[in-house]
Amino acid sequence: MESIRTNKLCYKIGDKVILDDINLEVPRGSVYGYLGRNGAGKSTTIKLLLGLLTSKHDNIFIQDRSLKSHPTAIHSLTGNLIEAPCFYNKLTVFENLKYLDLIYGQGTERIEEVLELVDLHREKKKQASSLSMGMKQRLGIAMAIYHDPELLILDEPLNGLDPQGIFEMRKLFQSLNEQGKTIFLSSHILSELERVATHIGIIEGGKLIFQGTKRNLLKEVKRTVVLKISSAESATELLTSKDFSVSLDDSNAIRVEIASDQQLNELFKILVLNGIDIYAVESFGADLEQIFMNLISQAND
Amino acid sequence: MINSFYRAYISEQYKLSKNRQLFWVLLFPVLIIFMADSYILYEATRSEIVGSVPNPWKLLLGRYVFQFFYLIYPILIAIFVYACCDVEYKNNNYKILFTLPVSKAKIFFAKAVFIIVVVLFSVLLAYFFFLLSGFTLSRLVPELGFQNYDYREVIFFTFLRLFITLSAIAMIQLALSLVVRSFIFPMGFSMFMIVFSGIAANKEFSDFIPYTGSIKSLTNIMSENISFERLDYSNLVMAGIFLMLSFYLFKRKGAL
Repeated sequence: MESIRTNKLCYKIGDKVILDDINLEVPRGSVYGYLGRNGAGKSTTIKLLLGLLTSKHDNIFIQDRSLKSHPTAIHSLTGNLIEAPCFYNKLTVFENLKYLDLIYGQGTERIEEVLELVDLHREKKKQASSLSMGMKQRLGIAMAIYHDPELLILDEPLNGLDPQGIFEMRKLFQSLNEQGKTIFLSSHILSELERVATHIGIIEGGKLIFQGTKRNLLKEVKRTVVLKISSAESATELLTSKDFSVSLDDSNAIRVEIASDQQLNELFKILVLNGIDIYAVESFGADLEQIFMNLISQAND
Repeated sequence: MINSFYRAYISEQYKLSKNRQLFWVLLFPVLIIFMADSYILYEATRSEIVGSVPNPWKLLLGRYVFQFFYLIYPILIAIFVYACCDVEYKNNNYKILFTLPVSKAKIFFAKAVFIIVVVLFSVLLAYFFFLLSGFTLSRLVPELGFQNYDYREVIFFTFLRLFITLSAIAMIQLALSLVVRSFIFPMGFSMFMIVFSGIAANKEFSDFIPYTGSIKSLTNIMSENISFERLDYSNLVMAGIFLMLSFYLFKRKGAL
């Protein structure tokens, strides 16, 4: 079941197409990383999902409800942080959450609980405008999770946080996800997204060029295996004849490109059956950043 | 229920009541009355006006206070209304406002009602202080003769009509502040209209300019005019029209 589903979501400004037939499928309970370059259409998608921009058609469904027909019900189920954090400068940290409390009616205990979660309890009496950039980001996250939403939509939530803050936020997102919350987040810190996300969507030029589990995405990409073996030259000849992409690394090591686990198994079998001893294996998997760059260049080709 | 007008109103009230401008709009008129009182007392000590004024409610307190009210009240309202909109412009807080599980209509009318309530309290406070200062002066300087005149009816109607005028002005300023983010434009417009209404006050068409109501509150108290006129009905209609226009602008507003 999907937490977010869009059906051929399009958005234009004048003649310029910003989003072109986006079919998002964000499974419930997932952490969905939404990747794209600047101007690819990430923030526009997020604003459409939150109803801050209006889609002409009834093609956005959140928790199985149409955004067009049930905007307020959907807003009560979602928390958000879009680009820069939003809060009221003249209110203190506590008062910003109290403002939300007057709407949601969750009580002062919930305010304290959320402040503990984002580690802002010591700053609760400080005026929001006087907070550091990282603390403002934490306040934005506190305001997003205050009403315990089932779905969190976060656009660049790690902006302005120091490494300790990023670590704590990752822990927070993981713990919220373990509680069953769906998290839809975009971030330019790909290494962080790689650690947190279970699903990935990649947008380029307004088009969704990949969507699926992180495992599937990583599977699609070739990795390089470096083997330390007894006879590198004969192994190179042998593997080349079997359609492997091989190169000599040094006198007793070869570098082989592997597309799947089956191919890796085949590689070992060939070497062992031909009497070549294997002393060491090193595998270099492509990280999300490489995959992202590859997909973007493929899409542009 | 989350999506209720009551919750929208108390949350707006909580947020907007932290504005410093709220205290100015509430207390500045009282300060003007206090300063007028002080000046009357000062004049009385010099014995220049004692016994020489036929109706001190009108010719002393009324004249001094409403000369300032005419110039300052519309500007106070413009500053206050702008501040109510500015909190949403800062940090692009419309993003918070429009993703709350409360309809845009309820949020808007909560804001508009809060503005009207503050204007009402400001005028009520000024009205009570005006009466109080007259009664206090009658005790402190009986020679001025405040106790010899019952001017309560004129004062009541003058403040009531001032409230109607200020409500219309508040709604115009609300529409302006929703259109432009800049502080200069709504303020400049307010100042221009005060000057223009001073020039055009005697023209027939001035009844259709709500800002004229502030200068006419001075002439009303001076001429003991308690009857509702075309200007007052026009101001009531203007308040309604600009309220709906502001609602339309608010509904169209995005948080980009």
